[in-house]
Amino acid sequence: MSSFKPKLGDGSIILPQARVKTIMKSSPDTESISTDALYFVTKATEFFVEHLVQEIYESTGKSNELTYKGLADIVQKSDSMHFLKDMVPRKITYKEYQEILKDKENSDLY
Amino acid sequence: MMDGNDANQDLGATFLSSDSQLFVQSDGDGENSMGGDNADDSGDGDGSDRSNPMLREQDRFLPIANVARIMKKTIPRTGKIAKDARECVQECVSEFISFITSEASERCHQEKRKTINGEDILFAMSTLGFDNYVEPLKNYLQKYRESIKGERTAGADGFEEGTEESYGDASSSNHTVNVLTADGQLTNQQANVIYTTYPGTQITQFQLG
Repeated sequence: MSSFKPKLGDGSIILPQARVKTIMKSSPDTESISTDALYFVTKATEFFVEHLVQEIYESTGKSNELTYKGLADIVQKSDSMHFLKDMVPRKITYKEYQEILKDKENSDLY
Repeated sequence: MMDGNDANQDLGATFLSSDSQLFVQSDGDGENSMGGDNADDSGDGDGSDRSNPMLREQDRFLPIANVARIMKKTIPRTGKIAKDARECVQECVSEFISFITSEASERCHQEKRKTINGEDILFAMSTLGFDNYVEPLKNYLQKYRESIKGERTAGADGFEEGTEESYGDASSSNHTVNVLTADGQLTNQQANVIYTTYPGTQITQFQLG
């Protein structure tokens, strides 16, 4: 379990609740959402951004630049961020992809 | 087979993306050119009984500016955020929302309840590995409620104490309020709150914009 503690702000909200609600409603079987629930999800989402950024920052040795690679790495490593692993694949070059294709072809032959 | 020119981009997208039902439109004109019969035009989709309504790109994600703002606050002021990292975080954030919501929603559904309440969300967070968010969320909700309470009229004679605002003559302050407008949109906006006192009553007006 990570040691994340939110530091930013008080109880006030930065992210737009209406949009959060729209996104929530696109989940299957979601009918209505109480105001408390909406507040919690909005606030938790803010924590999540903070949390994610903190983890990246620390894992890259407090590098001043937040990169895609840093994000992809933390998603693979961190337990709580693992649900994102399909969304943040490690990027490979076209050349590497060609090699993977070739290996696959070769293994399919046998 | 494929054009050499677009190869890097297209191959990257097709090879690496999962079978997510969401797709990203890069033309940004806000219209769904594919899957037209599934398109849900209303932003707040009460007609969204289908399991995965195709939302327009601007509806599927939180505004990049807000997300970037939180990101920037978390790193030192001299820090930089790569554009593709920022955009990816924006997408991850929507995924997080869906992740929590479907867990809470499923439990609600199993218990034959129609409304997802606060407890459902907190329980989902605990289950999904975000247990450390639960206590801060409860605390923040309390703070938030108290700050809202201070803006409301207290009734005929008494004013509610406990805030720094002095309900003297007319004073105004800038707050972030949830506004339900006539067309049913609930948005969070900056609003000037104008307090005017008349004998015995306090009138609160919200001036938006």
